[in-house]
Amino acid sequence: MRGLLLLTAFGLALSGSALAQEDATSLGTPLRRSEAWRQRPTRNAVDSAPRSQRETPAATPRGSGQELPEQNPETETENTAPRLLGEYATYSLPTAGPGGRVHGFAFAPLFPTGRLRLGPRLGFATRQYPLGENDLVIRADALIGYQHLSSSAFVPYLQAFVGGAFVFTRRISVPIREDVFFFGAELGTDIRLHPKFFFGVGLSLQFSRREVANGTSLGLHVRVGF
Amino acid sequence: MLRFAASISLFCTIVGCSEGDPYFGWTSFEVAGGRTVWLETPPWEEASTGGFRVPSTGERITGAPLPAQHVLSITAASGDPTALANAAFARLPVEWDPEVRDFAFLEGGATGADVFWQDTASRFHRVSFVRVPGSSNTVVFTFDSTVSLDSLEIDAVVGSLDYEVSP
Repeated sequence: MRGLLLLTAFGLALSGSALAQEDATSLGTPLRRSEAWRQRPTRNAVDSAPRSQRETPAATPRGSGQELPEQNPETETENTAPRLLGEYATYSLPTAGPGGRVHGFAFAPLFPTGRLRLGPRLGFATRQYPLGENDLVIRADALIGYQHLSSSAFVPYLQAFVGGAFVFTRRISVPIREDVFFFGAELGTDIRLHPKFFFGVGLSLQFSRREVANGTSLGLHVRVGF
Repeated sequence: MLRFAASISLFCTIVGCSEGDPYFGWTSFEVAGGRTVWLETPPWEEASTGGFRVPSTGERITGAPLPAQHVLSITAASGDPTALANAAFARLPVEWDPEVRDFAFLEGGATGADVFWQDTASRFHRVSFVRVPGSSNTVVFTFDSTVSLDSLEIDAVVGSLDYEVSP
């Protein structure tokens, strides 16, 4: 009887040792992994959790105190205005004699000043002169105005401009430079066609002054903005 | 929109929009017995010896007196412009290759005849005989230039005779 008890105890001891050895080989690693799992940060725990148990930020109930900031890509482009304008403009600039209609291109890098539309504008143009070669106009002016920013695609604006131009002409084969000073106002709108691409149209009323005469003209401005 | 355009039109009338008047910005001069001509100043200027001139580019830069690029004198004559032009043509040497042309400019209602030639000094000449409406008199524009005078700008000067700028 005593021998039977010893035999049984030895057998149990053997079986326990075998089980322990088996855990150490095949089942021991999962045990260590689960231990390391508990030590992971919470975010990794969320990542490694079963997909059915994951909670995305959008699915988190509002007011639970666990909301993440919303990342709506449209929010970044709303309430923005173009920073760089490239425009075609036609207006008239007084000249001695017939003609005076100007067609030209200009670009305007605008400052990121929100509703304040502010920046310089530089342009090159030709002025029609029906009695000879057309004139070259190099123009620079400063823009300042208000632009209405909203979630709408339209960015209407009202701006004033003041500047000057050099007009290089040839009159009866003689090169002449005219200096023109001008100021005016422009009303229009930019239309957001893409988060970073605008199309705009504007009408301007311009007063210009040169040595021999003054002039008033309506102008049309068609532009793209980025 | 129509009201806006009308307002702008009225505003331009008051302030003085430039387009539409062919001699806007030019200067009027009284010449040849009370007649009026229009010239663009600059480059035209009154010459100290009478008449008008356009200084050369070199003279305008350096200030030193140099032969003018264009010289214009305006006188009066009696007779038919075409007959006067033909008479002038007949006096010119053949080697100067003179040419007579009739013209009719619309702006001032001027009609008449031109004589063109280029002399041996390679200066270009043009004499325009302009008929004065309602008179037997003729106004004579005599141009002398270093460049060709067969241009629309010179036509405009000749055609400005007695042109009245609309108020």
